[in-house]
Amino acid sequence: MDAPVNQLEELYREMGPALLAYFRRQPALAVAAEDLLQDTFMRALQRMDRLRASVSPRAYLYGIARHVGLDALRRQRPTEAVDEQTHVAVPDTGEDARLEPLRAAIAGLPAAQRETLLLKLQHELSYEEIAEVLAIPVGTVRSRLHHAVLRLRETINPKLNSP
Amino acid sequence: MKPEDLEALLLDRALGELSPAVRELLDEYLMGNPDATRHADTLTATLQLARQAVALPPEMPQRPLEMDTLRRARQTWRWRRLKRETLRLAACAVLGLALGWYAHASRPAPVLAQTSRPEPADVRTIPAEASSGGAVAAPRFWSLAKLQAEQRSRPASASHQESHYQLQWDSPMKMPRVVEEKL
Repeated sequence: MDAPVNQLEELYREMGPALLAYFRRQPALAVAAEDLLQDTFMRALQRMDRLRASVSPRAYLYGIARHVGLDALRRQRPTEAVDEQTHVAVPDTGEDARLEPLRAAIAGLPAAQRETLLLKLQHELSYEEIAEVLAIPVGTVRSRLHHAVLRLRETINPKLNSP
Repeated sequence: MKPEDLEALLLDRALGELSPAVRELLDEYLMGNPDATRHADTLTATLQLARQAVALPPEMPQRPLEMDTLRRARQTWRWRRLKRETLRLAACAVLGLALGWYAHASRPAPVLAQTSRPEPADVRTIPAEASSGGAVAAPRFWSLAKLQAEQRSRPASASHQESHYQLQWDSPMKMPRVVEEKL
């Protein structure tokens, strides 16, 4: 009956888990992740025309989720805010010893590089999709990712040089 | 290939952002360059580890999408949008009417066109001096001073006192005329 709402419900089934994970991975937002997910789709419904016109509905929804998350962080009291979003320790006894320094290195990246890298690694977005989510040029996405990956490579292999 | 270009391509390759054709060409290049291959492998390994480091299994949302809330919200937004558009249209109409009224009110009163035709000019021709009999005909030369003197010598009538004279000379081939315009 209400086509946009039904379309959104379909997107929720498809994208809901990934977007929920997006909020859950940010410690400051993890508790309210379910509410933020509902907010994301509420906002998406408000701008269905843009969602239809976007290059990728997935990227558009991530873009909305990002803004919903930022708004939620702004609403939180400063004492509650957790600055860094990545350094989530995974309790796994048999994990690779290099993972922990790598997590520390990711957490130590500049915020813009880290955000771009996580959209790539955790959500498998393409350069174009990340550019739409962050509202930046594709070249900037590429450059940020290249710098971040090279820095991580130096963390793992400090003695390696470029070709 | 410049090292910085190669590195950028290797990074794009490791990030899965190369088109199949470019990737194929790069793979062929790497087969003949062990150093570059080693570098590409370290980049790929780094990214694999980084993916592991930040990976968390996706979880299903506990709550389904609140469809009723969305539908209600949608109705509310529609109503608000309709109200806003109506208000905009009304504001435009009021503004248009106000501007129209202002433009009409501030326009200067129209000047009535002068419909009365001016009285026809009294055209007189200079009397030909040659017509006087007897003497040798005077040359038909004329001058402005001569015409003015002749005008002054005419008896002034009541109607002529309020007249305005104008010299009218249409062509150098014709004699000029004195035109009397009654004021």
